[in-house]
Amino acid sequence: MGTVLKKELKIFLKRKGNFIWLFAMPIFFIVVMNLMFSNTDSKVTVQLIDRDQSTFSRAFIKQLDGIKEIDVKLVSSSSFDNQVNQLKKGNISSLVVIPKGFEKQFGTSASQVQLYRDGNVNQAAAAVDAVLNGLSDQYREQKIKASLLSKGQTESEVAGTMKAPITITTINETSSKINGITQIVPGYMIMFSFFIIMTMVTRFTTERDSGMVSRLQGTSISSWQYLLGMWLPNVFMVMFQCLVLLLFGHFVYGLVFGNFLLVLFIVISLSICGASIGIAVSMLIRSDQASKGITQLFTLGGSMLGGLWFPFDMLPSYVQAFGKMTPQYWAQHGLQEVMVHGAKISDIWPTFAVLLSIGFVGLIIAKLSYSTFLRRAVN
Amino acid sequence: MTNMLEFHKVKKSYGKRIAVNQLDISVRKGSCFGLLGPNGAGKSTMMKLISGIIQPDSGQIKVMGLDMKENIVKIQQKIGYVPQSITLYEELSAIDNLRFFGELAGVKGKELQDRIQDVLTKTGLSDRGKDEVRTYSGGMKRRINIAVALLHKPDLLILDEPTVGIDPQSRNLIFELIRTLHKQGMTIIYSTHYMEEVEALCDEIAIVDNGNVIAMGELDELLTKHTKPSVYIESAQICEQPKVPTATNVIEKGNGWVIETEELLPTIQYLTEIAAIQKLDVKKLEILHPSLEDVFLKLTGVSLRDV
Repeated sequence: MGTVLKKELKIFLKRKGNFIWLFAMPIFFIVVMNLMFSNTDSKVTVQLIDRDQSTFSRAFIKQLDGIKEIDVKLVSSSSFDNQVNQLKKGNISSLVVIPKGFEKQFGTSASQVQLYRDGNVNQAAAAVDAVLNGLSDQYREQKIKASLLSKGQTESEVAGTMKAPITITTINETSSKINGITQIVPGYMIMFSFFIIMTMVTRFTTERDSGMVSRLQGTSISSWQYLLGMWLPNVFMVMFQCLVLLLFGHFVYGLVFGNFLLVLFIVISLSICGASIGIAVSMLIRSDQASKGITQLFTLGGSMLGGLWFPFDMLPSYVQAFGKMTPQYWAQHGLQEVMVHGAKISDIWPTFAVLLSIGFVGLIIAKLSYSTFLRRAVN
Repeated sequence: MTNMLEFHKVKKSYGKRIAVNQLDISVRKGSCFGLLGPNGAGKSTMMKLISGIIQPDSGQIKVMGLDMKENIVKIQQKIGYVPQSITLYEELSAIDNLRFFGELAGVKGKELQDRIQDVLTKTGLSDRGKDEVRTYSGGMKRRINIAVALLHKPDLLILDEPTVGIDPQSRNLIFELIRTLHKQGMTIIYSTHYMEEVEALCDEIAIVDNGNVIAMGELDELLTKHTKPSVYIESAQICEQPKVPTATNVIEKGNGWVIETEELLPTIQYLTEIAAIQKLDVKKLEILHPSLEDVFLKLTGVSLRDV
């Protein structure tokens, strides 16, 4: 087995193309994804037309612009039709119009502010809607307060009346470690680790079709010696790949490992799992071409369902149900639990159980299918 | 004399196609045994059966008196198998390839180093050992393919069409190597569809067709048994089939006639006299030496080159 292992490692290292899948591609994805998601400007831009041009409307605009999440962009009254067209085309998400008589109506009846919103962009338009409603509530409170004071109530009595019957206290318990990189680095590391399946299938089909398996059959090597000798180098390469990517995340983006030993155990389990799927597919598959389809379906499909691209909680519940059937989910879940929440081995044992069980089953399938593989090789 | 290999009613099929049919063969220890036959005759299947790569559907194979089924590991340690395809790791150097196969054969350490040098010298590649195999010519790859099988000093060397697609220099080197190994006492089984190769190398030959051995024996024995000596005469004035009293058969060939006979000298004498009497202008009068090609033609009705 050691002889096959040494030979296989040498061949792996000689094939430069392997390093693209192992390191270049995942690092590229990590860098690009991090650039895309970590420095996003969360402000919502609001187009605003002030037809009143009064002191009161200007005060309202100033107040609106002072809100952290809102960026007010004043546009001229004459561009109203153009702005509505832009809204319809989806180029802007909301338009606020302060109508003429806004200040005048304030004292007598309710001043109106019109919000035009794109119903298809819920998140941005809802934020503007909520901000405007909040402002409206503030004005209402000021009006009630003024009315009570005018009816002879003292400041403290008014304050007591205005006090909200329910107060909500937000206690921020979120760990300081959580950030986009804890999603991106483990996510892409896990995704690319499963590309080992394709590398392994290519190796096995080359060995089979070149007559090498047939020749080896003429030596006294056993099936287990051959299979494990071919499998182990791939386990090592995936482990090495994961460690390089984790260290890249740590030194470049400050990724925090938590308990590094547990992270290492997850990486080992993941490597065993990926390489075992690879060897099982290699024994069952007829052509290299078919393997590419299967690998892509497994790696990309599993990554999407397993929450490697988006936080798992953001996925619809039925997708989550499917996602929990993938090894990708369990690997990501385990790593994030350790990195973000400081989980112990007792908290993440299902991760080890799932990954190692898949690894074991993969090896058994490979052993059972070896005779079929051999038949294809020697005939 | 002890037999190195024995096949007793060995049969091997792939689905409905019978590759080897109830085969009985015995190969003497120390002989160079040639398996001659066209592509698809079943030669490679026989080679794989001998080396234990595949198992027969029925029958018994014995190597060095040991039953293959019961002693496969022991037998494989004594066999060097050179497959028809070049099975080497192209990314690795010749030395790395040899080290890999040597270790698989159980040779290790200093002994392995020495044997690697020895087989590289024997195959004329000692100066290219450290180069990656992918940089080698086809002939050089063929030689390393053979070197791999020699590392553990096998008692029986099996070569499955080892000269396919190679240059004359490599072919000569391989022939020299085989002759040397044969002289040293190694038993060799050599499969090919080139009759010149078995004629040049082998002292015992089996002609194979459609999974059957249709003739087996020493070269002279086969030629005597399956062909007749013949005389070729060519003259523009002989337009009709000549009537020769000593002829057993007369066949038109090219611009002349082949006269098969049991009595070679009287036939030549008769033809010379007739030519002199009739004042014939004879362009060619020669004795034809029968070849394995004639044996194959005689036995199958088809020329080996046409199959």
